[in-house]
Amino acid sequence: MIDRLFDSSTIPLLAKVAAFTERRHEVLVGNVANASTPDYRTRDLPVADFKAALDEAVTGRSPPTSSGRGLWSFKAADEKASLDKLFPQHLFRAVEGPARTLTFQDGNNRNIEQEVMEMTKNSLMQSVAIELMTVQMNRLQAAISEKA
Amino acid sequence: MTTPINFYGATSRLSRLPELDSTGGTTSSAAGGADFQGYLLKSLEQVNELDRQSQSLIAGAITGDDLTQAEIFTSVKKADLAFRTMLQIRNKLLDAYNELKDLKM
Amino acid sequence: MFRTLDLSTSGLVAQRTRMDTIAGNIANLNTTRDETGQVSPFQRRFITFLAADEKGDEGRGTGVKFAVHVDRETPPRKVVQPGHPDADASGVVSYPSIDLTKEFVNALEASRAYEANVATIDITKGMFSESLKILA
Repeated sequence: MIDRLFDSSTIPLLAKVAAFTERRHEVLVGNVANASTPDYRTRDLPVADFKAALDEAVTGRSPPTSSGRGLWSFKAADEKASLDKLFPQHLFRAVEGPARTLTFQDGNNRNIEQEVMEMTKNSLMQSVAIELMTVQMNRLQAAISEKA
Repeated sequence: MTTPINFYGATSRLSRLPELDSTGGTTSSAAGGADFQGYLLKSLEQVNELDRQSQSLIAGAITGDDLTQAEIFTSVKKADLAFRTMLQIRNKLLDAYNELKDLKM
Repeated sequence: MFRTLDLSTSGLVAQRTRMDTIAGNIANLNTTRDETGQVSPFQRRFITFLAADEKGDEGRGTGVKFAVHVDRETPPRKVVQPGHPDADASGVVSYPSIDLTKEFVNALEASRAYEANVATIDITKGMFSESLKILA
């Protein structure tokens, strides 16, 4: 019973998205801190790979129903393992990121404005994930305590 | 967490009550009761497990482990929701038990 | 999240120290004597940055380390001023080899980078508050 509590919600997925955005934020902050470091190349998390894993997680888990994408569901017992398999650790490790601009004379390929912009977009993504997660948590809470 | 102990008492009492089912006889409730009881106990164990996970993540957060806030907070919130669910179930069962108890008088 | 704040701080400290060295250079644009009163033109200070890559931090964001150096290699700027008290035997005064334009350009970049680091701190705080909503 308890293990099915979060079954038909997207809470586990959204938690992964929120975790990804947090890790990414740290990497982007490191880029801005090193804006003047010669020979430093900007880093990032593999965003495209993460999006692909997200896609796979949503569509691969269960086939789409008539009303759109399939329901996200798995048992709590293997939830952590399934999630870890779908979102392997390497997705959360920084690699030399996409070059946001050409390399300057000092070997750095910084672009402060672009980094801050990516950071802002990233933080908005985190807000979205968390707000969506909170809405579902509140709904569960309301169902449990029978208070709106 | 003393609730599970009280809770276990309520469910075990429930499972030993002779049930009047629609056939008019008292069926051996042992099988049905044990199933339900086992089911509830398994759920209790799951609540405990979620709680254990959240405690370990919290300990990690305090000692500065490499965890994201999202992971820690979601784990805590899930454990909280699971516990509340169990609490409500216990309350409902106790209410039902008390109602039945009063009926017999 | 807290580590992220440390990264931002390392950037802030590095850029501020850079501003300090630039301010010192500009202030001593025409300093021909050192602190003991000897005729010795002020030598430009400059800063070097290095990414603070630590072992075991692979795959995460990194901060920045810095070191302040004295430029002892660039020869001083020599101006012919026979009447100057600090002129040498041939009437030439040695001034610090500080290029005002270069210092200003560096100051601008340091200032911009400083602001960017401050902006990242705001975003960090915002994301942390947001994540607290999960618990509410």
